[in-house]
Amino acid sequence: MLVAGMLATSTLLAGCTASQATEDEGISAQDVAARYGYDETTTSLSPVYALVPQFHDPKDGYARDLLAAQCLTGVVEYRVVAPEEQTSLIGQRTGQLEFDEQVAARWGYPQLHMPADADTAVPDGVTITPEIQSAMQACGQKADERLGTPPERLLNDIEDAGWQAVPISSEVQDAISQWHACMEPAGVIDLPSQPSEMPPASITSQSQVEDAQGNFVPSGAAASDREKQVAELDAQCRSQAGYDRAVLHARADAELTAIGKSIEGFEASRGAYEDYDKKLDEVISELG
Amino acid sequence: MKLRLRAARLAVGFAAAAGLVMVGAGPASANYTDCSAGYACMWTSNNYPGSPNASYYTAIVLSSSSNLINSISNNGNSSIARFYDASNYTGAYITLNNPARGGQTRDPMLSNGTDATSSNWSNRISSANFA
Repeated sequence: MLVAGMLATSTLLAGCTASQATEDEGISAQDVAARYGYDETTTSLSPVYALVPQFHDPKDGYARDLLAAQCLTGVVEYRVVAPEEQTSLIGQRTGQLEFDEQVAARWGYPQLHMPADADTAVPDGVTITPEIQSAMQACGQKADERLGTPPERLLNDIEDAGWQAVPISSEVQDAISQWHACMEPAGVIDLPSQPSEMPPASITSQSQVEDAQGNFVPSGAAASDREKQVAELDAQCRSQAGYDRAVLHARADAELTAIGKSIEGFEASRGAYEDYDKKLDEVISELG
Repeated sequence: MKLRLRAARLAVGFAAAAGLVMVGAGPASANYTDCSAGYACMWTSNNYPGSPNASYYTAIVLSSSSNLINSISNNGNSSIARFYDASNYTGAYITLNNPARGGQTRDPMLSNGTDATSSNWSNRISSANFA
């Protein structure tokens, strides 16, 4: 079943390349890129992010938080942090963890030692009672009534199609092979099969602890010298192997192909996002 | 990140854009209230049965229940909870809002996707955090 799935997915996502499109396959990836001016050599964003600037814009959450804070006045404190004031190493728009040599040198593997984000929404020390919960839900309904919901569904599906293309990309597999060879000097005894699974247990033993349910949570400990050493080499090897570029290429090709198969829906989403964005601006202008 | 039968899901995804697919919603009888205040919770079965199989206050990398999650709920204080396909907060992800933000705060059956995606998220989640 897995093999059948791989074949089906390969055929759908990887087999549809430039100038190979038939009428059934919609517009080719190359034609979609040309139509919208997408050039992956000049951006780190995949097509859904580059071509729809409003997609997953942190402004959405900001406007909703502003409405929540106003609505919950007198019920519970609700803290609003503007997007430009956020300090997380996780990209607010893409949701992806930043990782390069600079980050590795400072944090080791940042997911294990991430700097605390601003304490957003309800302060951490506040226990949300059923009464507060009810008020919060009522406020959420009001926010939805004013803003509607973001027209993200098709775009999320397109983005997901991009991510699913990564494991079956030969370019990514080549980059992973190079990364493996590059990582040998680190002597990591349990080096995982791919960079996205780093770091392994031998590196994280001090940085995360097993909880009662057998999962792992950050321990709060600072990164060890060994962790930083491996993380820095890892970041160098990813760069040398062209891993991030290969991942972006695989995602971009699959996303463009998916857009080409649903060009009308994609256009509709772009238009709907422009309308949605105006509502967000109104709220931010009023309450921000 | 895992390889799955995506071709059919992609087709479903595009059908969803035309409003042909039902979106997730909380069922009338659910135990998502077993998720402690301040936490986001995950269950390996649909519809939040009993105590959560995984929960977190700031972030978590799943081990015992990795790639086994089928229903999720956000009962945290923060603005948004993110649930990732890959093990270190990378790759595809889905989100649940703080209730005061509106939108979706829990999902009883990830095989149907969520309100924001028609992609099948059954048995995919490997890590999660608050933002």
